[in-house]
Amino acid sequence: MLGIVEQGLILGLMSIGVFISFRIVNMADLTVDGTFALGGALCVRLFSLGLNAPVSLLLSLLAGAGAGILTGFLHRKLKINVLLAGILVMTMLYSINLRIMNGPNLPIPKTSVSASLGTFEQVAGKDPLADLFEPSAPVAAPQKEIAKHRTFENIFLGTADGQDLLLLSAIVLICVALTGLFLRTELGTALRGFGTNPSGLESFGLPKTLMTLLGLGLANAFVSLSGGIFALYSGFADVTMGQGMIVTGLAVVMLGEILFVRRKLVYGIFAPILGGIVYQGILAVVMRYGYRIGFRASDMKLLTALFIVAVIGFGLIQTKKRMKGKFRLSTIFGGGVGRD
Amino acid sequence: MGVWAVIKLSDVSVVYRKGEENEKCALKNATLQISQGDFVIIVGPNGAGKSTLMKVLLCELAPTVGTYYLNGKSMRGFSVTQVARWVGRVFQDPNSGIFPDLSILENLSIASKKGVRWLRFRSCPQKAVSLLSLLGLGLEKNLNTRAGDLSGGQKQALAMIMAIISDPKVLLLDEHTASLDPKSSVKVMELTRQINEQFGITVVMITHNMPFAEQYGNRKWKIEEGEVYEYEYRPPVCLTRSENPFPLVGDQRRCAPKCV
Amino acid sequence: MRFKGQLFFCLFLFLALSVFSLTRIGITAITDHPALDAIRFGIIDGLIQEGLVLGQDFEFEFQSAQGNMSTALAIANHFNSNAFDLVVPITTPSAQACANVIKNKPVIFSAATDPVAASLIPALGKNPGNVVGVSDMTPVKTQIQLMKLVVPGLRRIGIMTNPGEANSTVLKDHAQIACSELDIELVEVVGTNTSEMIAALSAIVSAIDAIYIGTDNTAASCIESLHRIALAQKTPIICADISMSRSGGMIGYGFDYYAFGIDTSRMVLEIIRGKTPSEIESRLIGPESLQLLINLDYAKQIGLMIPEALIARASFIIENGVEREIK
Repeated sequence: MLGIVEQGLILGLMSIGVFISFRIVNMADLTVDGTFALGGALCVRLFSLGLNAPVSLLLSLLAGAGAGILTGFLHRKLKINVLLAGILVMTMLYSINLRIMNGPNLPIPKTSVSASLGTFEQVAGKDPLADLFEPSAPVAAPQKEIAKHRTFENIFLGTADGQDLLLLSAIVLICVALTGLFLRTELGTALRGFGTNPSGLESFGLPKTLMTLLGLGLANAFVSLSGGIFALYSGFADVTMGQGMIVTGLAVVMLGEILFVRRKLVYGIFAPILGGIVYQGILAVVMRYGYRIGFRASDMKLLTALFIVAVIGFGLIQTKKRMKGKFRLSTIFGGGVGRD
Repeated sequence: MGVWAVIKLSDVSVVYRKGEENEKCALKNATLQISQGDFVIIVGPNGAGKSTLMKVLLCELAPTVGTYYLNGKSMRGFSVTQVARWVGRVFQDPNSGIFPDLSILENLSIASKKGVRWLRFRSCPQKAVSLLSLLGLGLEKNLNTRAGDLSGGQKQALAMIMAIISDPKVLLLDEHTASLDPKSSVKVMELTRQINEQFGITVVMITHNMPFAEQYGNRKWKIEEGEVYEYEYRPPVCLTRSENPFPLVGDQRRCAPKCV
Repeated sequence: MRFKGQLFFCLFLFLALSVFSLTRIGITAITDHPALDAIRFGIIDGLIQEGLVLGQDFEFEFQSAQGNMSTALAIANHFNSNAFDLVVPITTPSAQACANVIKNKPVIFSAATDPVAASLIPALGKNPGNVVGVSDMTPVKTQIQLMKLVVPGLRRIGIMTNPGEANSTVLKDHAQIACSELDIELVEVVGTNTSEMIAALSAIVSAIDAIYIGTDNTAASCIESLHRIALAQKTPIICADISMSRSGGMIGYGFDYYAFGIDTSRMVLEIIRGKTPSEIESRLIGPESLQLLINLDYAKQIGLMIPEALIARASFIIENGVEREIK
């Protein structure tokens, strides 16, 4: 149960990023898939190189912001459609992440020294077929640098159960609070205005480019922070860990808006957190009982996408019923998403 | 108050697709001056060049030939956001002048500052609220209503207030009453007059509504095929002048340039 | 509508927490290929052979991560719930995911090549904690020596490796040591997924004399394609896995993975019968389980003569399309 809430918090944090780009700034940002993995890869790599966890997380947050800014730059300055710009940066990040981790995944080492079992001959003795071959002079094993990994002072695993939850909750709440404060400032209010009326903001002296960079940068900062926390929490980073995150994030945002009554709390940033926890709960339950009907872990993506389709469809029916009401789902999703 | 030219166009021409086959000259050698306190009405058939003129004034479009001076300074190379400091605008779509998802309070606080802003908490200056109460629409009582929930006329009124909060040099209006019902149109036009006469803000307005064109404004221009004709002139209301620096009505095509 | 949704959610959560009385085993592997399937069947059959009845004394759920590490993690989290009593991850990546996430249940890894390097256990033998298992460390040097025996003038041998698999990296290091002892050049053929691996082999195949495939799961997933590329260039393949060599190797020298599964099931049985993981020794499979498979058809196709002395030691021979078991 605890695991569900903890992972829900991490997922919720990522979904706040999706919320910022989709709702507040109103741009369909596909960079998210790559930024999540970037956050994880960079965080684990820096951690294994000797930086401590908070600094690694901070740097991966900044890297994520940079990726978002790059997408915004491609969109505004090179006039690339925002969807395509996001895909381009996401593709770039795949190769970059492989470089960062020097391979498709990077586990956080648990021991401070690289140990190994030894070769078969060293452990099990002579091989039965050894007599077929000419004896060969054993060569001294090349002096492999014993990598001085940071001892994995696991900030998430291995501590008392309640502590992880407290730590995660604290991080999430601080982020939400800071962002809420920011959105209350003049710049933040302008950013929200930019989402509803991009050209209108120009009449007040704020260039679209600045707002786009700010919005996308902030959104992706959340995503990469979440990726870094996730990597520390699960003990490894993998180049495919961001795959499909945008869809999951959207589903979580929608879940939060449906379930959370005070949708407008902190400008709507709080809702995805609840949505994340609920999503994890549903995931656990579905996998637990779905096995009986042949459901697999990998089917979850299909379910998530179908959920989004169902919510949008339902929202359309709702707006037909109530012309002017609180259910603005269809206007948000149907017409508003991806508007440039 | 002295007389000076707020806007001056010096031999400005705008040519679309220059050098190509379907080259079109949208503005031809326009030389005009607008002075402080003027209320200019621009009429003309579609495609004549009204929108092009507006775009030049906003710096959305750079003149192919000639220079556009705002407040005596050449606007060559300036961008829309830089010019926004001196120019307010309200366009036809009521949703384009306001931020629909934000509250009235937030709209006003965005509008109260022109240019880059930082991390001070948003606030709504008293001036904005008092301007709002001038409207008499009762909007200042419910500052937290979502701006998108207002009626069309209210939105345009709000948009106009937002445009003038930061004391622009000139207010540009592009058919801003076109999508409103008659009653709201009149209200908004009265507001426009009030802005011009009471606050002394220069207004340049494009309209297709001929009755309004007759009722309002102290200068009437007609644009036909890229050429600007002034067919009526009266002194601006907020100014008293002995001298009339500008030539009068009729077939005289151009406002004679007089560098002040 | 909103409250209904919240009510249902609470109901689901409650159900998710319920406990079951049967020994429920969670089995997972990073991907699907015959060797891994053989292990799984071996584990189940081994338990049945010892008298346990499926459905009555034990139940199992198998989840494949489809080659995706994040899915492996989700599966590990799924197995971490109260519904499972013990978890058996097959292959190193799945074992790593499970060992990281599951702290309160026995985790019995099977076929993790180097569990020490993968941080699963500190060393062979008894270890504190909840992780124990059987390693399929393979005799790399012997396998390369076999190649040297069979391929005249062997100068360069290519090793298929996915740097993302800890087991693959370990075998590559062992291969490096062996090759320097045998005066052979080792060429790394790298791919992070099956398509990259196939492309990498196509590019290099003409420059190498033989191909070595260890226990790399990615290579195992695309063995047929690799075989086709090698055959076209008349390059022999040696596999550390018998079942893989059936699909595409000329020589296979390694463990019978079905027997491996049966061996693992003995460890699982000990846990079911009450022992804790810290009381059980993590171990290697004994050398007596090693088997040799020679595909004479493949050898004939590429024009290689297999020495009689070697054929005499084989456990399986494929000749004229038919496999015969010798010993």
